[in-house]
Amino acid sequence: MAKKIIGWFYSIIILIFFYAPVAVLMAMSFNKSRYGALPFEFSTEWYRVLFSNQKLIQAALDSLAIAAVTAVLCVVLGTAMMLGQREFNSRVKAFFNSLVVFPLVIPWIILGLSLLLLLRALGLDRNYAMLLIGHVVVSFPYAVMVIGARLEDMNSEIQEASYNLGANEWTTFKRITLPMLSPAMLAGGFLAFMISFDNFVLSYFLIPTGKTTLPIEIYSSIKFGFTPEINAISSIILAATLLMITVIAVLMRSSLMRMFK
Amino acid sequence: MPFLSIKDLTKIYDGQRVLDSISFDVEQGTFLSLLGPSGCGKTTTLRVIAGFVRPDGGSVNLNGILINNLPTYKRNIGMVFQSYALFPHMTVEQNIAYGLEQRRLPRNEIRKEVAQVLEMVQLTGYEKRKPKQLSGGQQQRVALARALVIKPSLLLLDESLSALDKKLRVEMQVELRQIQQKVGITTIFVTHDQEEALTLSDKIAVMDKGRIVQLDTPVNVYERPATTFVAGFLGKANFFKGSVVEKHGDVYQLKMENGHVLPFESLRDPGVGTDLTVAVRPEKIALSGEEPEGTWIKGTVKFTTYAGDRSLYRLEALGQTIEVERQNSLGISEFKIHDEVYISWDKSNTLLLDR
Repeated sequence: MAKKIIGWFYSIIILIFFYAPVAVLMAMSFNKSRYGALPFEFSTEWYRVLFSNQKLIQAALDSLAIAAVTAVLCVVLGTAMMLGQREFNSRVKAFFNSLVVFPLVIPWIILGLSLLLLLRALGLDRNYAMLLIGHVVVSFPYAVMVIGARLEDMNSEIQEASYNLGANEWTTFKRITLPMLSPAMLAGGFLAFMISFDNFVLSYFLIPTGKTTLPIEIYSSIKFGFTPEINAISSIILAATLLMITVIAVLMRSSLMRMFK
Repeated sequence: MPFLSIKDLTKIYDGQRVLDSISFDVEQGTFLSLLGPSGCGKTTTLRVIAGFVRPDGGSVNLNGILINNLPTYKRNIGMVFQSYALFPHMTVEQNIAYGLEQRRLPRNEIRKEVAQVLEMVQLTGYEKRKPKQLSGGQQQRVALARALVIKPSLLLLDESLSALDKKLRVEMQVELRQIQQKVGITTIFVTHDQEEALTLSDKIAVMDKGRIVQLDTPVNVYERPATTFVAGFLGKANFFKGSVVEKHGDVYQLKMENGHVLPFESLRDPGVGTDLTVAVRPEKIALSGEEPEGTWIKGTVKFTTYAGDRSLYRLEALGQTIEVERQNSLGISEFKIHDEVYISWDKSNTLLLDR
């Protein structure tokens, strides 16, 4: 009994520790006071201010665009790679897999720095292409892990059955492999999207001069004094993320259910 | 000209000969089983025929056409996989229609064909189900229907019944055989289950270590095994290893490695001085309490089991264990542990095999 109470207590503490700051942030975005003073007075003032802050909105849109392109690139490249490496023997496969997930343990700051040095060596200015490469490198392992896990579960006899019934490689990919893989591709893409959207370090190193992303913009604006608009945009992002996760969970659940139930 | 002709098929994985120059022919309409322990090359043979594995040597001729270098999707060979490999995101109907769609059949014709084949496998009414909503036996039938609906020139079955439980498996064996005979399709069936191979096949090819050891009718493979491996793999057998030392009248004396001497008679003359293995199946051995006529050996009952339709005995004789099976239709036997018994068998049941 005592064990159970302690267990509950512990879990609640952990949950508070995780989520209280986020809850406070969301609440404060609706607080009238600029300095988060209490008593709480409800107002949508800061959302109005936010939507007139062109720079912040632009930064958010740019971040969304970068994250979207990164996600698509990661999913396409990741799927192609995981399908391709099924042909390899297990030793080559293991080597490949460890290479692909290696960026997970390289500190982002070193990765960013090395890409910046590469730009210098090539005599190029910081540009979006290199920024995207950086984002793809750090997001790729996440997408690949999700897609690879699904592919691992997929019996290769399924593809063989398709060939056997007279379908060539392309038809088999289109009608069998892709539909079976799509929930994992969606989930992997979403993960890659979030990793990229959230990434500060690589963007900071590689963003073209005069441009900005949301994390960079938030970081620089708190240096010059904090405004509750940041709370507002953070709340919007959080709400959008939760919504997306829910939609994807529902999508995946129903498509997985259709296949496996 | 045989319908399917395989010549000198060889496949090497990591320096190991998985298929060691396999050759065999199959006549049209024949149900052939490839039988052997795991790793004997039976599945690899099947996968070469299907086109999933490229052989390192040899040829596969189907209906007079060399198909070695034809991609799988151009071979028109139906296959039922061990895992059934049904498409999980498609309904039963869509699964079966898939092969016909690849052949660009008109919609209404596809619908007709699907309905027909579903009726044949007794699954009418299950069109809209997903594979996961079906039982193992039903999935098996969908897989069979999907393979047959394309009217393949050859049907391949890869351990297709092994995932089912015993009772269902026996039912499916009968059903499979009936459908196969009705359609008249040439079939190659891979299995490690000797009973399944015996019940289903017109011909059995027993495989071991990448080679075909014997290819013959079920009766011949069982009654006249070519090697000790075949005798031991298909059914049970008692083996006596030694060399023939002398002959008195019709009776040979086999001096065994453990020093004991086995007297035996045989239809075939083994020749004095040859090293060989004498084998006899447990159910061919007669037991009696009194000294029988002719050739016999004496043993002691060590262990008995009652198995319903038959009784199993384990005896000790000639310094080794001998298994005997007795049908209980002859009456439940009276022998008990420690009884002394006489063992004999008809000389037509003596199997003379290699060492």
